[in-house]
Amino acid sequence: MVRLLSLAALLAVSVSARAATEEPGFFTHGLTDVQYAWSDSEQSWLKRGPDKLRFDETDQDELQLGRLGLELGYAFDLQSVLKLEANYYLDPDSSLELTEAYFQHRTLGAGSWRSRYKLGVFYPAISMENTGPLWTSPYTISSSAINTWLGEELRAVGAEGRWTWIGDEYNRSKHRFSLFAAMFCCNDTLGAMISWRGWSIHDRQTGVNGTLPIRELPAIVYADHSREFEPFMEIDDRVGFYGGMEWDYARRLKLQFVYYDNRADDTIRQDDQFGWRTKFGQLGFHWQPADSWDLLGQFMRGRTIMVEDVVINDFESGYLLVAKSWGPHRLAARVEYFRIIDVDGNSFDLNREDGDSQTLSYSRLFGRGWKLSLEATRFFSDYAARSHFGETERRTEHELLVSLRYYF
Amino acid sequence: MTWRVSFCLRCLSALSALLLSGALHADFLVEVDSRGALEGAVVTARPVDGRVEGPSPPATVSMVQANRQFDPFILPVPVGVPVDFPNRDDTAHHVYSFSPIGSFELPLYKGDAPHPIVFDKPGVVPLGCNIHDWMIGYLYVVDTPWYTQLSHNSARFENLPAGTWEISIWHPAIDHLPTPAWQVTISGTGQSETLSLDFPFASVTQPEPPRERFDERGDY
Repeated sequence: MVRLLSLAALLAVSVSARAATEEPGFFTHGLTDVQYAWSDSEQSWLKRGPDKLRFDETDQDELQLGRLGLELGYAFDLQSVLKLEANYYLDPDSSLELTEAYFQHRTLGAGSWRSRYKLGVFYPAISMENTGPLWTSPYTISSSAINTWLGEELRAVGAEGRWTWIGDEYNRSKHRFSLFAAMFCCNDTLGAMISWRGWSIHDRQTGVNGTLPIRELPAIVYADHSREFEPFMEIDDRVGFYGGMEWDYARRLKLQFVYYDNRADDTIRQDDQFGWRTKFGQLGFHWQPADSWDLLGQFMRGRTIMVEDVVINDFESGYLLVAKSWGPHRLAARVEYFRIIDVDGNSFDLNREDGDSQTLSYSRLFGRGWKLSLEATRFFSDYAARSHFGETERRTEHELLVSLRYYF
Repeated sequence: MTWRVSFCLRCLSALSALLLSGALHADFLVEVDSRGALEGAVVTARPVDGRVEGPSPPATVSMVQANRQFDPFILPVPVGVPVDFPNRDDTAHHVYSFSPIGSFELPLYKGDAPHPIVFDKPGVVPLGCNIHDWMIGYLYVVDTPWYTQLSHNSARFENLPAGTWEISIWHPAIDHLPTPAWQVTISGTGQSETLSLDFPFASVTQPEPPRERFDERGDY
């Protein structure tokens, strides 16, 4: 661990950080995140246990590597940029995961409309929370249940267009109306984690080359499903889509609606993974009544189906986050709930979940890139799948996280 | 927010303003009761009866980008005087205008000071930045060498020659309003006149840039 931390420090110092829009050419950014976790969770899902947070009580002996994140890019000019983002983790196994890799072109200038196009692997811009470098949240260490799930399982491998009305060219409006739409592939297994692990809260994002551990649920054993879940697979050669709209007023208020459908064929199985047909709608908002206050939230509801009569789950979650900043200090509080409604009623694969979580986070920025955060989380879940292991379905976890990040 | 504005124009120290040539000049003070709502407004004077030689224009003027804002918010530019756009920010800007008197787009990387732009007609040139869309600034191109700007509700013309002058004021807050021009005769003796803009208008000030933190990113 110490060697790794030295490597992280060396990497951070040796890479010359430059802003992406500073001048044409190559640029690099990144962050190192070292964490200490105190947790009363028995065994984390990352170790195939029943608990939902990233760390558990066995992790208290040493410092943890939250991540080593690196963003490499090449700016052709102010309009076109090529970006690659990767994260290195030690848990559950040492892995370097490619989280985003895309080409972006945006139009600047004439007219009342602007457009932005992305081609490659990218996050749909539907998180109100994860607006920091490498899709981190500037408010808390762990993301909300919704965004934890998006970071684990959802990525677009395809093309996205975004068109924004910015008002009359002589007199720019304070209103911005955007429409966006994308076509993508390779997210056909989306839905498995929230069904077979349930909702979770953490800060670990999966790369397109990454896999996630799944417990030996009866359905997994019966179907001889792989014990490593692959979120980013194309198994049916069908194209998925999402689309939405956003209204922004004077950068103070943002309202967004998005509809997503991976259009996966839920009858297909390939390489010991199943197709999961997953659709959802989401409402998101971000209100900044002043520079020092942020109020944001997302509400999502959807359905995932795996082999029509085997798994049909409705899922739903929402959070509200309020953050107050003063100078380099920021205090953020987030409350949320999440549910899985097990519609299929199959007793050999129980997925029902009801839970809620509260997070309180304090952070402070130091100098030109250091950030220290202290975060407390309570996570309660009543998750039926635990009964397959003879465990109590209701569990409450508490976690205290300290994180020291360096952004470069 | 609306303000009613009244102008008070007074000749100051006219008697002491005699130049060596013997021609009568006066320092001329324009006062505006707008409680700061027209800060930076460009006040121009034009001789009504014939041409009078004025002060020579500056060689260049600069509209700077600093702290993700235009500095100054309003820049008076004499016709024919080159305007440069130095970028003093760490980030790049993409400054544009679609003004009928001259439209342009300038990609400005850190430290860039591209070729200056010359306007050969008077008028308003609203400026924006395509990357930081809260950035708003104005060039006001004037066809008279006699111009000044309101600061703390007053603007001073130095050594305005005696004669009859037409005084005008421009500010984005009153851009589309029927702002009158006033005729004022500078006689070289003490005089005071009060003129008024008798209509309501909404205040327009330079927008503040949003907060900037290294753990947050803009979205465009």
